[in-house]
Formats: sequence, structure tokens, C-alpha cells
Amino acid sequence: MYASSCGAIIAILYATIVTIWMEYSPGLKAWLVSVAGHHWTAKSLFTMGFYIVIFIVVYELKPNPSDQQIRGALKKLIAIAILGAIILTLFFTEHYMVV
Amino acid sequence: MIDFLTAKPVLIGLHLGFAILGIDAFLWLLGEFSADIANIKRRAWAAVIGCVGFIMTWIVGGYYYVKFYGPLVKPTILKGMAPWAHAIAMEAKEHIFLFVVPLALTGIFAALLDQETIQRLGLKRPLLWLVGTVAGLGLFIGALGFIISAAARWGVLQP
Repeated sequence: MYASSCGAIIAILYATIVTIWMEYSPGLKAWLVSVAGHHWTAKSLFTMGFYIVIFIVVYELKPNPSDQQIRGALKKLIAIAILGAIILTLFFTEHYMVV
Repeated sequence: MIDFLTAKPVLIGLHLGFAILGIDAFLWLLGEFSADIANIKRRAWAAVIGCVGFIMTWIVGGYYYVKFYGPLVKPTILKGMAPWAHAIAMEAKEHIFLFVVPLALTGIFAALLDQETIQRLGLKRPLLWLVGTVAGLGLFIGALGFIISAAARWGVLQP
């Protein structure tokens, strides 16, 4: 579960950061479109890609994490998921108000 | 058969149905963890059913979003009385959804932990939060979907 928590943390951070970054970078959006035909499809694939790669790497490098590490990673994952959802909702609200 | 499954109302129905399956299964898992029921097999079923539901709603909803929403629904909403439904609700929905499957997959690993390990690691409360967050995000995304559908209907009724 530790490896999955780490993979999910990185995947959620990626999804949040690239979503906000893309709104200010037409070049990034065009690149994502060129990868998969639609920016959202590319973001979906990369999000799962980050989850799987980080999961495998952490599982290989740290097969026996401590109790504290397992608990800490799970708590960080929950906090990042809730904060990420709040940040994206507020970002698009602010973006709509300003633009 | 493919023509039927890729028809717009059927896609919407499947998208919603699989999402409800995912949310309900994680609410079931929440009850299992909350009641300290040491039945790993039942917890695993709940987590796997929920995860499959979320993956299926991702695939079906993603196909609908890329193929139909952009060219057909988005312009209707933008010219209607609630263009913010796309700019805020849809943008937030499509991106927050990306969080759900990695969280739900972690829920499967959590469901496989035995009761002794959960107690030794002091994981009961964090696990309740994890599973509750998956179900809560699913419900929030569902509410955003309702706003988007309502805005599209009102957009169509605009003269």
C-alpha cells in the first residue's frame, strides 16, 4: 500500500500542476494534443503512467517500509487529494471570473 | 451493438451508471472499515467493484467527452445562460476525476490489509478518510455533472 500511496501522490500532483500550467501555456496544450489527439486524453494517460511507474520504482526500492512511512504516505495522499480538488475548483472559478 | 453502445444517451447512462457503482462500492467499503469487520474477501470485492466502476466510467465518459461534448455540448452551454457551467464545473470535473482511479487503486491495497495490521499501524482513521475521500470526490464530481447537464438543457432552450 505504501508504493500505491506514493504513486497516487505523484499522479495527483502531476494532474494538478499540469492542468494549471496548461492554462497559461498554449505550447504545452498543443504538445499534449499532439501526443494523444486531445489534451485530456494525454493527461489521463500520463497520470496513470506516473502512478504505475512510481508504484513499481517505490515497490522495488523500498519493499519493506516502516509503519510510520506507510501511515505518513497515506495521510499525505489524503491531504493532497483534498487540497488538489479544492485548488482546481478555486483555480477554474478565479480563471472564469478574471478571463 | 457498437452503434447502440456509442449512442449519446447510452454513453451518458453508462457513464453515470458505472460512476454510481464506483461510489456505492466505496461507501460499502467505508462501512466495512467503520464497523471493523475483518472480512478481507468482502472488503476486496467492494474495492475491486468500485475500482472497476471508476475505470469504466473514465473510459466511457472520456469517449463521450472527446467525441461529443467538445463539438456538440460545450458550444450549447457557452451560448446559454450559464457558460460558467463549462468554464468552472466541467473544467474542475474532468481534471479532479483524474485523481479518483489512483486513489481507488490504493483503496484495493488497503482492503487487503488484515485487521491486526490495521490496528498495529493505527490505520483505521486514515483508511476511513481515504475511502471516504474517494466516495466524496465521486459525489462532488456527480454534482458537477448535474450542473453541466442542466446548463446544456437550458442552453438548448435559449432562443
